[in-house]
Amino acid sequence: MSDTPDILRLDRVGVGLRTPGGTADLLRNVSFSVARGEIVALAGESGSGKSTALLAVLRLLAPGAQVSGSILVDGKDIAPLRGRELRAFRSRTARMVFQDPWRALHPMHSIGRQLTESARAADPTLSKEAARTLAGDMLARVGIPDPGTRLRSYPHEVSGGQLQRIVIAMALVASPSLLLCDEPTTALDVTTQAQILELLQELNRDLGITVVLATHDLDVIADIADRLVVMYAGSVAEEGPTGQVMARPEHPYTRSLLQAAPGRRPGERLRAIAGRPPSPLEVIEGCPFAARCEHRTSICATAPNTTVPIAGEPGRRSACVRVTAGTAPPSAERRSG
Amino acid sequence: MNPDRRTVSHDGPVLRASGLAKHFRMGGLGRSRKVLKAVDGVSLEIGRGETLGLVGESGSGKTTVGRTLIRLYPPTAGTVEFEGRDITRSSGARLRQDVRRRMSMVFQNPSTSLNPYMRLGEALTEPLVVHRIGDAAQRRSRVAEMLELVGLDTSMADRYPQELSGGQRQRIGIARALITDPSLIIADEPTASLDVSVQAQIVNLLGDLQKELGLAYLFITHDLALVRQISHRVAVMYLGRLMETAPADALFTEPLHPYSAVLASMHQDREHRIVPRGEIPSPMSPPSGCVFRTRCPIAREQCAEQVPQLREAAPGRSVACHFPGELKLDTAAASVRPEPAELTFTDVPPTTAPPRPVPAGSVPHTGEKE
Ligand SMILES: Nc1ncnc2c1ncn2[C@@H]1O[C@H](COP(=O)(O)OP(=O)(O)OP(=O)(O)O)[C@@H](O)[C@H]1O
Ligand SMILES: Nc1ncnc2c1ncn2[C@@H]1O[C@H](COP(=O)(O)OP(=O)(O)OP(=O)(O)O)[C@@H](O)[C@H]1O
Ligand code: SF4
Ligand SMILES: [Mg+2]
Ligand SMILES: [Mg+2]
Repeated sequence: MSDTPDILRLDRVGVGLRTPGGTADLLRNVSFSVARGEIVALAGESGSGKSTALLAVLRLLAPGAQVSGSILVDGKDIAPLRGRELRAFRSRTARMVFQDPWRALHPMHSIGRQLTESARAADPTLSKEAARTLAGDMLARVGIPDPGTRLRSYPHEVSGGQLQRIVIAMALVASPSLLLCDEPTTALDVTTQAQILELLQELNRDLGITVVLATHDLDVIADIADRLVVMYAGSVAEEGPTGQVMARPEHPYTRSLLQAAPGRRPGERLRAIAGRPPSPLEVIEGCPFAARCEHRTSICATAPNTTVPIAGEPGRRSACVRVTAGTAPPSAERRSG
Repeated sequence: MNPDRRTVSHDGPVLRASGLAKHFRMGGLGRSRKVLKAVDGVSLEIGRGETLGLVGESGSGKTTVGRTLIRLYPPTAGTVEFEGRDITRSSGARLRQDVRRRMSMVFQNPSTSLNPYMRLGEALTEPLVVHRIGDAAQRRSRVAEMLELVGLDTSMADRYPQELSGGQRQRIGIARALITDPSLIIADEPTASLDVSVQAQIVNLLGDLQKELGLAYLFITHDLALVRQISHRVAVMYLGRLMETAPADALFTEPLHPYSAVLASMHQDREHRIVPRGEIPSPMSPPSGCVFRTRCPIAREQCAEQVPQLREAAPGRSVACHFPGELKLDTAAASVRPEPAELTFTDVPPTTAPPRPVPAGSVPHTGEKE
């Protein structure tokens, strides 16, 4: 179906929203891609646009949101999808798991009914019985004990950790090629969190499902992501293989973010980033991080807000002109994948 | 918050709780009424100027401990001593004078703990009015002093909560907790709704205030990296009971309780983690014997039969387990987060001066923009 290994590609995506205070730019010139079978994390402070990026991929943005640039899923532009095609895309190709499992399920419908409906929405040829069998199998697959009984349970009868597994199972019955997770473990306990992350990694490994995960939890990222896309103020600051980015960041924002996290030197003062990110209502000229960056120079004011490849570092890109200047011309804007 | 290990004074704790319990009666009538033991037999001490971290799974009773200590809930059993006085049964004026003035609470969600129709100045004055402290002019200057102390512009007094960022609102929550000059602050997940960069500002602020004013904190959180960073000692709860209390470093490098080992192992690489099986049992029907036994990797018969009591295991350490220290961490892997490498720039040297770095030890002053 496509000539690239990329299952997802965002190319200069902008998302604007008219508000009483002016146009809010929720995403600004966002480009990144996700190869089939990868686990990619979107990281960044609250308000950096992680959820917006995921919602844009599923065409679930608020009505009135203006999207520019292109989003390709499996090589296909999703902008023109309408009606039945759009429903099929959302129920089959790409599925979303939200932070709050309680909101993802209907409180008055049994878990079995919701899983069966999800399966049949993805594959209308499936009989009721076949869908129920599939639902039971998937519950077992995500580690729910006694799935037969659980199918008859209602959401309030199960714990938060189990509920998040059920929500993941509800996405899986559609055998999607792309699983988008927005803070899938934030509402859960540390031990439950570890169990859910293990599950996601297993599904990725055993079923080949591509996972894109939005989170501000650096431990979650270090744990499971193959690649990391760091977002700041609706833009991409840098991207690359997780281990490399965390050990050797190539953008001052990434480095500040890593240093602000606790756990490095117990007992010492944390390194806060002074100031706060620009609001989506602000017009940004040059590098969006410049106002808070201790490495800012005059060239930063005219930096194009886009990532470029870093010479000699395959797979890594940065939007910091001081890092990339002299390594690649900003016009070389075709992604190498 | 930087726990300066030297400034902790050891002459008499600011707070001491013994055998504290808080049970809630749940639905049903007569015999069918169930009891939920949210907190059951918790004993702990907090020294002057000390930070005691309180960790544990969701529903383990952390918030209930905090609310019972400050007497928002009357305890079902046990005693609480605060600044040398027994406050277990204090009420009315005594409660206000002995407890609420000198012990305050910072809540998890700064958005819902502030009245949206009240200007911040009024919200800050309220505790002074309740405690009949000062006259109008003194109250105004105290409010200004507090705003200054938490690094906010005094003009903030005229604003409404909605006009502030999450981090600024949390600073207001802290100013409000500080205004009556307490010796102990119970901070219940004070940074849970904030991201790391704002969290770092708040945590540093709490640390500075501790040094300046000799405050003690009970710091309740889910975040293990954070609790290790800021606490002198840590108490670990599970299903309403205390599993272990230990100096922060010791807890994370040599945990004695299997549940502490589970938590400490979460800091390590995946292969070295101890992920407990199953899920936390219902607090309405906790397991017999040790409450952790249904998920404990080393549980055996004795664990189902006898409740392990919290016992001193070493000076300053207590643990409630029949086999303390048996489940060990893979210490080779016990790690703290590595420092990210310096950036290398490929462009010409700086042509304009970078912004001035905030001098170490000072409270960053954030007025209009944070
Ligand atoms: N409907 C909306 N109207 C106006 N602004 C919005 C709307 N939805 C989101 N925003 C703004 O867009 C920006 C990006 O929000 P988004 O939810 O994508 O961030 P995020 O990275 O997911 O943050 P978090 O970590 O808090 O979930 C934020 O500044 C947010 O306030
Ligand atoms: N007012 C109440 N009435 C009845 N049950 C309560 C009440 N407050 C708490 N509980 C129950 O007591 C137990 C302990 O709750 P608590 O809020 O203290 O836990 P926690 O450790 O603070 O959890 P979290 O990390 O989720 O905040 C839970 O099972 C809870 O449902
Ligand atoms: S008492 Fe037994 S079950 Fe409880 S933690 Fe210790 S070994 Fe595990
Ligand atoms: Mg989000
Ligand atoms: Mg709580």
